[in-house]
Amino acid sequence: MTARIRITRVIAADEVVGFVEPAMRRLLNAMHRRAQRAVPKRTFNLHDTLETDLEVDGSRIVGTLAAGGKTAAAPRGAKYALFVEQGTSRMRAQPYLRPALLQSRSADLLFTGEPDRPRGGGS
Amino acid sequence: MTLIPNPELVAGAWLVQRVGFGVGQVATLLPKDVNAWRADGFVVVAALVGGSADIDTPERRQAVVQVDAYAAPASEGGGRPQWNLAAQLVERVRVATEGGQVYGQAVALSPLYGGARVLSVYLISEPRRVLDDVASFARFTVDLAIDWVRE
Repeated sequence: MTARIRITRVIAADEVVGFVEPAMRRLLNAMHRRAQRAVPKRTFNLHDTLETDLEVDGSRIVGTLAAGGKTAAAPRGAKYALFVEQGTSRMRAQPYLRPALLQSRSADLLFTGEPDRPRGGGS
Repeated sequence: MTLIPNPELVAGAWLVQRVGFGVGQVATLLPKDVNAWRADGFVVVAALVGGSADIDTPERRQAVVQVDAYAAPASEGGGRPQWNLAAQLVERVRVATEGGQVYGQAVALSPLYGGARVLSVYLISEPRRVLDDVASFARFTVDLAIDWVRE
């Protein structure tokens, strides 16, 4: 089951979208890196499923930070992504997506870094 | 030496003393003995999921904790999870955050710890039903922001 955090921004004028899109990309990169730092990394499989996506549809920009889906570095994905984030009755929660969002700062809009590279440790 | 409170302890104390849950009904882990809480359900301060530190007022702690409300099937042999019981528990938390009486309330921790004062408490998400629990428990989860200071 893929876990996702989605940020939707609706811009009043379409011509402003071009200015907002790079800022949204920088915010996603900052959140992506924070999630990589926070995610449990026993095998790095869940780490390698973290990915971001940015969709622009007219005046609407949707940024997504997701975990658990299949990626090149983690071809089998991680169906347990949400269980790690929220915990279960038998396993303690180890949140990594919500902290990445809740620690956002305005400086993230100027973030120039890139997410860490996948480790390819998962199977 | 007096120990220093932390957000999870303060949230647990607030749930007991201000929401009105039983002392044995709130913890940071779900007890293994289901029969001990089968009748009343159980509330777990599951994790610290966020918060922020203020450079100007470092004494003020702003934390976000995940609170889970669990209800087991009514009988030991199985049966349907008691979703309404779990929903009631989480709604009690919500009701306790309403109204001005929640602001600036002192909460007492164990005698080993210093006290804390909860400045404000509010939900930052709607309660969510969590399906697919491995033990077939009914579970609602909510993120609770809690601002507090040490006393």
